[in-house]
Amino acid sequence: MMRTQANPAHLTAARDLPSTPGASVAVGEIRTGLLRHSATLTRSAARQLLDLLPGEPVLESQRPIQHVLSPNVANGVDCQVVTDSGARIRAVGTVLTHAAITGGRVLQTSTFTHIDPAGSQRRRPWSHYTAQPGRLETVGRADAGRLAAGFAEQTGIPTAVCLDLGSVCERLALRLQASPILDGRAPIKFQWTRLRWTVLYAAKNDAPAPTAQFTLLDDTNRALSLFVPYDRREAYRLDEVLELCRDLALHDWVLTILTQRIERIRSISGDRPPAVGELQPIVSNLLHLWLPGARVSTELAAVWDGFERRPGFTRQWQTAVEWIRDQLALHTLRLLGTNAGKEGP
Amino acid sequence: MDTTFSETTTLRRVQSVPYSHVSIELDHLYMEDFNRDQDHLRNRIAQIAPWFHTAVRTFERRGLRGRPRISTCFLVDDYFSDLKSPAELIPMLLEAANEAGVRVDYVARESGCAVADGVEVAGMVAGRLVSIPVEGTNGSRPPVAESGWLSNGQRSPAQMSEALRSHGWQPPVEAEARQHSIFVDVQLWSERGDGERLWSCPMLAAVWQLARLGLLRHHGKAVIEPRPLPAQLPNEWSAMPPVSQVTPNAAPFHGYQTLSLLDDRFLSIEHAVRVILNQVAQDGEVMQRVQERAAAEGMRIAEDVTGRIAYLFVTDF
Repeated sequence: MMRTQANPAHLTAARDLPSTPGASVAVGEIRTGLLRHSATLTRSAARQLLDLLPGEPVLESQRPIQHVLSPNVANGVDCQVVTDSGARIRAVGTVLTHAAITGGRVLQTSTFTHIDPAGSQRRRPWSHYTAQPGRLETVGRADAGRLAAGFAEQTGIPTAVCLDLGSVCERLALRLQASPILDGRAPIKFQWTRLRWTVLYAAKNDAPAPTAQFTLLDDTNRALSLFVPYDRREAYRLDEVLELCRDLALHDWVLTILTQRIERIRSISGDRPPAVGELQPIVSNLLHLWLPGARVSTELAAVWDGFERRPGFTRQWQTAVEWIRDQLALHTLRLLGTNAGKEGP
Repeated sequence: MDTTFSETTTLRRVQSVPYSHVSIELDHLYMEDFNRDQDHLRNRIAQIAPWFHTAVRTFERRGLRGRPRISTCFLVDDYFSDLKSPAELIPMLLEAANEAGVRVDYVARESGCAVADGVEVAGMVAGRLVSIPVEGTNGSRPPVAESGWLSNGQRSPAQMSEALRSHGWQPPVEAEARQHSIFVDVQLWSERGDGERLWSCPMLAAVWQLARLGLLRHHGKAVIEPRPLPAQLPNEWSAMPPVSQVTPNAAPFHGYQTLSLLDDRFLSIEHAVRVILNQVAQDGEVMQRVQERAAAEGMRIAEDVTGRIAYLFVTDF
């Protein structure tokens, strides 16, 4: 396991939190990949693709990059959630799913819910849960900190009875990718990345400031854990957190794909200069997507700033981009040299 | 320098609407009720009248802050049949109500619950249905959906193999059963010859309840809003507003709660309506605003939609 930022204080806080009333946890998963479409998807086509719920607007922004966000679709669940000690607790309610398209290229599907661990004695009438979409309530009291830690730890294939937000994301991604609006041809080969995130909203001001931990678990799985003290929960409300999580997932994906491509090109070409054909799809599909924190609120931008200091996403990105530009420059020089040779006496 | 940048298309705005304390529905009549003589209509309204007066008195004694706001409404079924024109029917209805001492504030047409001012309201509500999960539903499989149907639990397994058949029938299960199930499977729509949906009566009645509760928004804008009764009543129901305000100074059409005074022939329809309404994912922001508005007036309302709906089923006795 590689930690891009370790903050042991957060884990301690999460685990030692007493079961105080009012603490809650939000959890979610995000899948990030490329649209199966050979060109940049136009604004109107993206809007049409993400019009998931009649009567609800598709939200979009143009600055600094085209970004289209679908309305939330609800799904009902009645299943187990796990604590870090392995205990299972029943939770009932609805999870919400939406999709976003950035730069007419990148597709993200995101499923999330806010878990209230106060606990009712039994499952309540379904109308209670549909009155507040996007909330789960535990049946019997649970500890928010332990639920957050349990969700963060549970990676890989979920057990059959436990909350499975990833599958909901993947179903929506599959459905969208099969849409006739898309031509079905992804411009480059890529892997989807999965981000699993948790936010622990503390009941008290247990820590002076929010903390964040981002973990690369393997080539495609990532985890983000946020801890939010009581007096900051308004700034860290769920829609702002979702924006941050999608933004981190998006940039981590672009960076992952870029570095993997470079690694592959280098392994094939060795010391020889790579073919332009290898570089061109990266330049036209990925390079314009790097705009960290574009829609993230001022308060949550602090999380980005932290990750920029260590490990330094943008530093790594720039190094990679410079390598590509250098290869292209060398190529141009070689072409000029060849042409000069041809035109010579 | 402080700078701000915003794009309006990134914001979701939700319109507020005025609310009465309660919206009372004065029976629901089929077109054939209107096609019989005026005496039949008079009898129907007379049957409702004492219950209406009782309901108003009961509500007025609740000790609300300020004057109780009670509005009344009447829904005309023009969706499944269109036999009498508004110009004929509305004066008949108002006269019968007047004789029984019942005030009609708003007259709505049922087709407005399917499409209102170009908005496909029933389709919008159907899109928000979140089927009730049975225990063990964890998101890993898509919800079992039978196109055009909605149940209150888990259906009896279909397509039983020979092997299974020998073990006999497996019952459907009501998700919220108390010991024993009362399983209901509601048809939401059928398809007309042209492929267009013909919405079922319970589906339209569910929209009607949501409209009365002031919970419907289309792109944030309120739909099924009352407009004044046309001075010249048209010959076509389609030319009428979805909801017409008959009494000029009436309390608002929408209510924090609804009460429907209905003939007992609507018992099963209203059961189906509740099965549907329980499974409509509400707009969180609209729900919160209604709660806050009611609380500011010192009125406590149920947090769920079906908790805000009351009935009085009336039988000829």
